[in-house]
Amino acid sequence: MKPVVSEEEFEAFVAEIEPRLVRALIGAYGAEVGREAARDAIAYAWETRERIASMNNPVGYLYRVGQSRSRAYRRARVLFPDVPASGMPEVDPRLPGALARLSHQQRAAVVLLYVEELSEREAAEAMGISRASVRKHAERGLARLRRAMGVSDAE
Amino acid sequence: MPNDVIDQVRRYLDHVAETTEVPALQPVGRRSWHRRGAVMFAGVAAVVALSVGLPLWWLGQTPRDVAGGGVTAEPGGLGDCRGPSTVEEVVATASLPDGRHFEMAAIRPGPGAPYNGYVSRGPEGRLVGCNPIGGESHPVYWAGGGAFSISVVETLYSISGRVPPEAVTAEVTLEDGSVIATEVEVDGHFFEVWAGPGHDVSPGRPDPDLPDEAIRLRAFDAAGNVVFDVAPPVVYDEELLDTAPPIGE
Repeated sequence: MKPVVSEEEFEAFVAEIEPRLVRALIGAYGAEVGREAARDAIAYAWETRERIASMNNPVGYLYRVGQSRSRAYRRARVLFPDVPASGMPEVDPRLPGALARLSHQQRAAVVLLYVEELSEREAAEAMGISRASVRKHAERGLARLRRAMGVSDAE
Repeated sequence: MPNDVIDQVRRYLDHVAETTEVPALQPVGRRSWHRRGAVMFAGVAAVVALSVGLPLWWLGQTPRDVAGGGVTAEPGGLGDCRGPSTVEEVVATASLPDGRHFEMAAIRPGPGAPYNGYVSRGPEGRLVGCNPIGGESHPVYWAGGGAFSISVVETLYSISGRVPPEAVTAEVTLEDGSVIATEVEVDGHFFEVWAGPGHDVSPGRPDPDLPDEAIRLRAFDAAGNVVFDVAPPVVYDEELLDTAPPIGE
C-alpha cells in the first residue's frame, strides 16, 4: 500500500479502510461502542499515518487500536439495534440478538474472517490470538449464529 | 434462507454503521484532521501533566508510605495509579528472552488514591504500566465499564484466560523457562498485562491470550494443588466455560 502522508492520501486511505474498520468494530463491540472505537482508531491513524502506511494489514492494526480504545466505552452488554421493520427483508430479525449472545471473541472472529474476509493470519494478528484460535472462534460463532437463526449446516 | 448468515451479518452491520451516529469529533472537511490532532495532543498533554504533576505535588505535601515487599516506589511512578499508594508485594516477575526483567507488584490505595491495582516496573525501575483493580472501581471495572486504564509505554506480553474457578493462581511458562504468574481475579478469570498499545487486555475475556513463547499454563488452588495443566493452544471444554461464565457480557 502506498505511503499516506498528505491529507489527500490520508483521506483516500480512510475512504478505503473505514467501512471495513467500522463494520469490524461494530461487529465486535456493538453499534455505539464500535463506532466510537473506530473514530478513535482513525484519529490515531492520522497521528501515526507514516507508520500505518507501511503496514501490510492496516485494518487489522487499527482494529487492535480500536479494540484497545474501546475499553473506555465498553458497556456491560453489547448492544445491537433491531433490524428495521421495513427495508431489510433479507435480514433475519433474530440476527441482532444472536450476535449479542456470541462471545466477544466469536463475534470478532466471525466478522474479521468471514465478513471482512481477512486471512486467518491477518485476523489472528488483529485479535492477538493464534490462527487456530481464530478458526475455532469463527467456526463456533458461525455455528451458533446458524442455530439461533434456524439455519441448518447443510444450507 | 440465503447463506447466508454471513451475507446477512454484512448487510446488517452496514446498516448499523450507516445509521449509528458518532456523537463527537465527527470530521468535517480536510482540515479537521489537523484540528483533531491538535485537540488530542492538548488532551494528552493535559492528562500527562495532571497525572504526573498532581501526584508529585501530593507526594511533596505528605509523608510517603510507598515501600514494602522488596519494591521501592518512586515519586511520580505511582502517579499513573492516581495517587500515592502502598506497594505491598511483588506478585509476578518475568525475565524476557532478550534479557529484560520485569516485576509486577500489588499496590493498595493510599490517601487520595482510589484504586487498588498493580504497577509494573521495567528495567532500571521504570514504570511500565498500572491497571487499577478493585476498590471503588471494582463494580464498574468488572462490568466492562470505563474505570480501567493503563499507561504502558512498551510492547511486552499480555496473558489472560480462564481456569477452574477454585484456582487462585495461574502460571504461564515460556519456552525459555521463565514464568509469568498472576492471581486468578474472579470466577476463574485471570489476566496480566505485559503489553503495550494495541493489545487487548479486556477483563473477563473468556479465551486465552498467551504469548507465542508460552509452552504451559497451570493453575493452582489455595492449597497449592494443580487444578489445571495444559500446553497451549488451550482449548477449553464447554463444562469449564459453563462453570466460569463470561464477565461483562
